[in-house]
Amino acid sequence: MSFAPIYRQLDRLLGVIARIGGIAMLALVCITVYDVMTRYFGLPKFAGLNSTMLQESEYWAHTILFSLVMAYAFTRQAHVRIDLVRDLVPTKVKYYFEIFGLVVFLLPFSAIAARYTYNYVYISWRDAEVSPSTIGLTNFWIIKSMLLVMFVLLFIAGVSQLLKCIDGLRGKLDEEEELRTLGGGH
Amino acid sequence: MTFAEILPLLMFLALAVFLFSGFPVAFILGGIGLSFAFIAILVDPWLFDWPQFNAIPARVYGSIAENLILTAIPMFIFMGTMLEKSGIAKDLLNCLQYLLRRVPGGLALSVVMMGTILAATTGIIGASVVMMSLLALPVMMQKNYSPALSSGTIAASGTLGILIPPSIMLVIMADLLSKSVGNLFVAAIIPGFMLAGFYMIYIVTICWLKPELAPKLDKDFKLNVRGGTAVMVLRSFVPPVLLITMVLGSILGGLATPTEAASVGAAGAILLGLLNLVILPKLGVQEMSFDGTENIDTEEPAERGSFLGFVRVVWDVVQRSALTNAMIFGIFIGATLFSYVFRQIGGEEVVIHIFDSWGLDSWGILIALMMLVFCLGFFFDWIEITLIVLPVFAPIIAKLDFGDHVAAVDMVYWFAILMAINLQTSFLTPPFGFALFYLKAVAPPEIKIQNIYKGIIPFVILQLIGLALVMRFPELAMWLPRVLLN
Repeated sequence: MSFAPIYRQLDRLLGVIARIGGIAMLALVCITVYDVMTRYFGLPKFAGLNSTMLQESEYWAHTILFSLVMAYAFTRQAHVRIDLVRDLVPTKVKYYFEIFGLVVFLLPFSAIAARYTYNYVYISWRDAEVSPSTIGLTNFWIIKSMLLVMFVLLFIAGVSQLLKCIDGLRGKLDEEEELRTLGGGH
Repeated sequence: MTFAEILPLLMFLALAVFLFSGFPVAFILGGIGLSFAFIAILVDPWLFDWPQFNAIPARVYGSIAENLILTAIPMFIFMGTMLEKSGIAKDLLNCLQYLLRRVPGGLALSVVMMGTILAATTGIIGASVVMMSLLALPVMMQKNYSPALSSGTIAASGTLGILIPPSIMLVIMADLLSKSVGNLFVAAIIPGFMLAGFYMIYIVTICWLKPELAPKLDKDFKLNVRGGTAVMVLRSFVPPVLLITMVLGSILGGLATPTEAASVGAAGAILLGLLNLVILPKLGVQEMSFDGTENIDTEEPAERGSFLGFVRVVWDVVQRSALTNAMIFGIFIGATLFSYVFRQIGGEEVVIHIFDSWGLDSWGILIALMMLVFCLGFFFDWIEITLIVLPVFAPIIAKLDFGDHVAAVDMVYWFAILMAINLQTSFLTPPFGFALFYLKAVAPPEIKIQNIYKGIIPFVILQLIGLALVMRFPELAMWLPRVLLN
């Protein structure tokens, strides 16, 4: 039995979430341009908005952007790999390397980071943390929880990748899927 | 030495070994950090203990998420990718090629100029190298330019982007060294243009001495554009120059922060794309192309003149730049955990101890660091080198003292510029030079990897000369910031 239905669904989920991250990029540009306009060209601010809020929204948007795209970037092989040595070994060994990396590095890293980020978010929520600046944004747990989402998504991407590698070892991936799983070929 | 004392060294060794496993660098950094935290817990709970893991979210949030300076990075990436996809770069290159057709090595010179201008708009190496390989290399091959000279020029000019502001690398360096991005940008201007100047002098000289490397262009090398040369120059130069002036001008004039300038650049790039892809074609303006050469296929959108098509282009640019941004911040997060654990288990003392035991003075340390960075450049890219080396060596760098040679306030800026010039070679030095791979991936098959290796040697030498000059004459970097920003 192939794991293809499972990892395809996982990857699709990551793709949909990454699109929200893409919208955050456009939002980031719009908010910052608006901030510049109000500051240097005297464009009026909407009622209740102030510069501090705008600037905080900028890094909120950026945090949403990288948090939601991070895991998807792994499924799209956008993360840098150093292929120098790996190119010399047969495909089967590459799969073992990849599984080793997932089991020893990515999965524990994302799991532990998610566990401790959960505490971090919980404390922020419990204490109803607001901006250190008195006129800034409130509900800081929202933006901190983005980091939790990032680590959880990374874990999911790791699981998806692990399933693909197991399928690959069993010879269930065609050439194109193999390239998509192992990346490389700069 | 006890096991606890050599733990930081083992950590570095493990990093070096596992990086070559081909697993993504970002996750190796994080994973090694975590593994060594576990080992440290087992060895000695005084060294590291479970509650210290609470620092992971606090660090990621405090130094990355909450950081308004780093927000400039995705917008600079977006700006560069947008300009690439809008076809503005292509027009500019064609125009430069036409204007320089009489100069020896004109096609190569146009690539250097193009690289310099691109560097001032983006700072994404991959994009510049790929774009110039696609656009310029086929023309150079057709006109019988030497493959080594052509590929060397493209690889070297494409990497100017990491030095000439606005550069993503300088943003990250300024952040890691807690210095002003604006100052660092200004300090990089003269060294950046100096390198571009060296490339041009080299090309003109070598093409004049050995004309067979770059044969003269024939008479019918013309652009088919209505309205003559003046219109062509106007149309291809004004948009990018306007954008560069807006972005760099506002930073250099001290008006806007790099983040604000980046947003203006990103928005400006969207508007220029709209102009070039929708408005001009709607007005019936034709695409520029050379007579007699086939239109080179460049991943550019086929649908010109349709607004919906343009929206699709923008969305494509958003996705591409989001992926590049995720890649950079992935390494950022991994390196944050790595250097945190490294410091907790006493890595900093070990590094300082090693340097002390060599008995080097400030110059010795500087040269040792520069050699280390240069050698790392054979295998790694600037992101890994900057994010791993700078945090580890920052305490040593801060203690350097060059007496009258460099003022104490300027020292860290000067060091950053030296490192930036040095890191440029990391793209070009085989076996693992990113620029070379990008180039090879899109180059016509008649370009062999040996041509590329041969072609980059003179440019690496020029960069090392540049490095030596800035080392010997710190004023090359420090004069402009003092004049412009006091």
